[in-house]
Amino acid sequence: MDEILFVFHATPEAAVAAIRKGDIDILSDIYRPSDVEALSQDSSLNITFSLQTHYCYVAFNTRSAPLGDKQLRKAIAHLVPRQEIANKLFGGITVTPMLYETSPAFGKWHNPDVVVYPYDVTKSKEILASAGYSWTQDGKLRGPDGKILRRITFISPTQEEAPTSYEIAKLVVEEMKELGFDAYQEGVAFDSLLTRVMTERKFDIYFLCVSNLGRYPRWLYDYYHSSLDVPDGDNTPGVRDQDLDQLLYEFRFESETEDEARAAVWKAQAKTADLAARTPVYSRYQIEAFSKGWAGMIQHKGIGYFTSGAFWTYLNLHRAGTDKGGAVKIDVGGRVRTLNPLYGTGAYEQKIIGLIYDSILASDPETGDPIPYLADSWKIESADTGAAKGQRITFNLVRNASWQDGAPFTSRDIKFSMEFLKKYKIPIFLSTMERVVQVSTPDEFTVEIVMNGTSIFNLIDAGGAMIIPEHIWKNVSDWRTFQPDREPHPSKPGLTKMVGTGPFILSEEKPGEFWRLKSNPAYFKRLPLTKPEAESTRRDQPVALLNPPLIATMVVACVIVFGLLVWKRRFRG
Amino acid sequence: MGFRVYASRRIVNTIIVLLITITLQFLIFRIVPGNPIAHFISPNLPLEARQALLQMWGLDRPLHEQFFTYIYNLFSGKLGISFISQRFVSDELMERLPNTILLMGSSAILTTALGISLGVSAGSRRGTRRDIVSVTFGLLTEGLPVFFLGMLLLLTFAYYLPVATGGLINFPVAGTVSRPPPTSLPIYVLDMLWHLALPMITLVTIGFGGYTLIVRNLMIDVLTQDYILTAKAKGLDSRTIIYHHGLRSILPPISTMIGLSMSGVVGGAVITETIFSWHGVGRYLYEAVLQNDYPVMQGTFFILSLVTILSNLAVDFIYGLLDPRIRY
Repeated sequence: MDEILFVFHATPEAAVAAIRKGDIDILSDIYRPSDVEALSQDSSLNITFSLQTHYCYVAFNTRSAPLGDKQLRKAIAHLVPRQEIANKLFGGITVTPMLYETSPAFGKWHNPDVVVYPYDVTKSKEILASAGYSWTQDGKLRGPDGKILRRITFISPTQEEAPTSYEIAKLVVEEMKELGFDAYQEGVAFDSLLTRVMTERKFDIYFLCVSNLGRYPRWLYDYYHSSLDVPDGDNTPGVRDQDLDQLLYEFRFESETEDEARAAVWKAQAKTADLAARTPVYSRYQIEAFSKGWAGMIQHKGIGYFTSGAFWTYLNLHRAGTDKGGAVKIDVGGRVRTLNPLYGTGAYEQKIIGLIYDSILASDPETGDPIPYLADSWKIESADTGAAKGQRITFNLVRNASWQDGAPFTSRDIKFSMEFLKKYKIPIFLSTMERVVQVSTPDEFTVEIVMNGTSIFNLIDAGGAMIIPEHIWKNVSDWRTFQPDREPHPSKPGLTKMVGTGPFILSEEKPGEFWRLKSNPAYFKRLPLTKPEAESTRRDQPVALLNPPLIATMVVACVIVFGLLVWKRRFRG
Repeated sequence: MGFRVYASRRIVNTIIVLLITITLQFLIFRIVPGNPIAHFISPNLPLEARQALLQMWGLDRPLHEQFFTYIYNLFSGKLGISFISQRFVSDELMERLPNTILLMGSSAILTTALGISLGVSAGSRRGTRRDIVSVTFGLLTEGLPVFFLGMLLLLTFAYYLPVATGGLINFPVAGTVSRPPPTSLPIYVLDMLWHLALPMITLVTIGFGGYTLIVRNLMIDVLTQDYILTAKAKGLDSRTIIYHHGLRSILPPISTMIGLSMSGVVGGAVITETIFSWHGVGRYLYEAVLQNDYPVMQGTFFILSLVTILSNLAVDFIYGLLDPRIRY
């Protein structure tokens, strides 16, 4: 592409109207069934559905009885009517019921051979019965000690704030009541819900969703390691299992090869599935629409075609019938508040930032594996970091990359970037930079990074760290408030300080409205393009003469005109 | 007591009210449930990173230190640093304020002008068809939900009609200007006015009814006064009676209404801004409330409070000019 124009629409109605009208070419993050239906009927558009690493779950507080009993949790997990939820609340279109916490979207990191809990009331009863639970004559559930179970409260957002989440909780509570639980749904303001769940741990059951979980299930460590069973830690259910801790630690910090990491995380998934401290409910598809006449889009596993992280699409996208060039208009998807690459972690900011700044390594869109990018090769060796085992990762950099203002890209920029991230303890890179012990530059195109630990994620994290130009950032006094897109370049007219090595340059922006990127003519990569496809050209929008709002408007206008005519004739003579 | 003494007292009161408002704003946001870090809760941002963010935001410091930082930020002109964007609140406000003032200011002027003229017209012709139509229309539009009207106008004029007419009628779907905007200044201005049309029509339609009804009732009351009868007896024409005597008499309460609405000119209209993707202060504040972005809430509410308090002060001073009966 010659140019990408990201534009903002504050409502789904505006975004859908824009793509149907032809104001934009691409729209991602479509989530309403009505929008999917409307767009599907538009013959000038294509719609795609991709699995993504989005995950909605029900979680149990294992710290207190009776939810401390694994069998009880498994029984409740069998009561979650996932298909009914998908059909009733999402039109059966926009979400897929989930049985695996680490979904197939994670590719080879997903273990399909774990115990799952499909909706099955009979199975639920069997589990309870075999665990020593029984029922009173009037159907109330009794524990193995013979006492009627206490009230179990399911907290959810309020109906006003999040009607879908509220309805999901309601459905599960109804199922629980049918089985004899004294279940109760409590709608709580979202902020209060987070406080109770994350900080105070005052809950029995809750429902929440998370998204953009990345390509690797490293979040399992945060979700289940006992060290994170602290206020504000992500181990909200309070799981404390030594074997699981060992497996998760091994996966996250010790696995030296991919096979070791996979083996550890697969075992961890089997354990977490068996513990049933969380049970997955559904995962939202990444639904994207684009106007016909475009080619070269690439599906990124767990992400989609165009959304944040779909880097390769933007390098290959072109008009069908041509091999390069053109301008594309894309809905950015949400509010972009900052383009500071060290702070803009949101998915929408990253759509733009990710096209301006490159990293040392890129990800294969299919497997997620690291592949050469700013480094064309690397070597990993053991290193002695003092107290613990470590690794020395040597990256050999490409020689033809440059910053967008023409300054050469060298190993000094990588050393500067890492030391900058470490010195200022930039929060989003904190866990990575804490492991970096030393960065050295034997020559202009070689950089050696010594890191603590021997995990495969050392390479992935070091390879994915933000690389910023030394000649721009060395003069930045406060990295937090520095807005590189708002300050003119010190020596290159027409450029800002938002200078990366990436394929696109920020050429114009109107904050909150649009961001214009033009292609970097000196970009170091010349990527093979996909074979031009014989796409049909975009059809003209059909004239929608028979749609209800138009008819209503015309009727009202006719009535007003008729009324005025009558009034004029009658009262004016 | 002369005007000078009155003015001094009012100014001192204003300062006290402002200080109390500033203090309450700080405390209220700390008491309300919610944690600013909630916006960042994600397994991708581990616990130590979130704790680092809280430290960066100064939320780990004692409350009194946070209060002094807050006061310093307010009066330093930067109004603090947003938690979500790490940008100065003043910079973010200045980005949005021109859009909000354009939309809300023009809507306020039109709403006021339309409401007052219709109200005067209806009040001076009580019981006539003009009066009935004005009141009916005013009541109808006053009761319309703004999201309903806004969405109806957007979809009708920005989607269905453009498609049906092949672009002959084509209002924009979003934004304050076209993306990308025209390069020529006159065309840019026209483009901005074109984008302003639908949101402004929405606000004026919803807003004029209230003014109409209040002004109508005030006019009816005033036109029954003895001095109006005297004016009629003197042989003055109806136009002079209505505007010079009648309208002039009801200007003080109208100016109060206008004064109270000044904060809205700065504060924006969150629903209208959302529907029309208008980059304004209303939506900014709403998102800050949802995200517990304390500096943004505090900074924006400070500006709104300042505008409201100063508007009230100005209205108090203007009263004496509008109504010669008022003496200090």
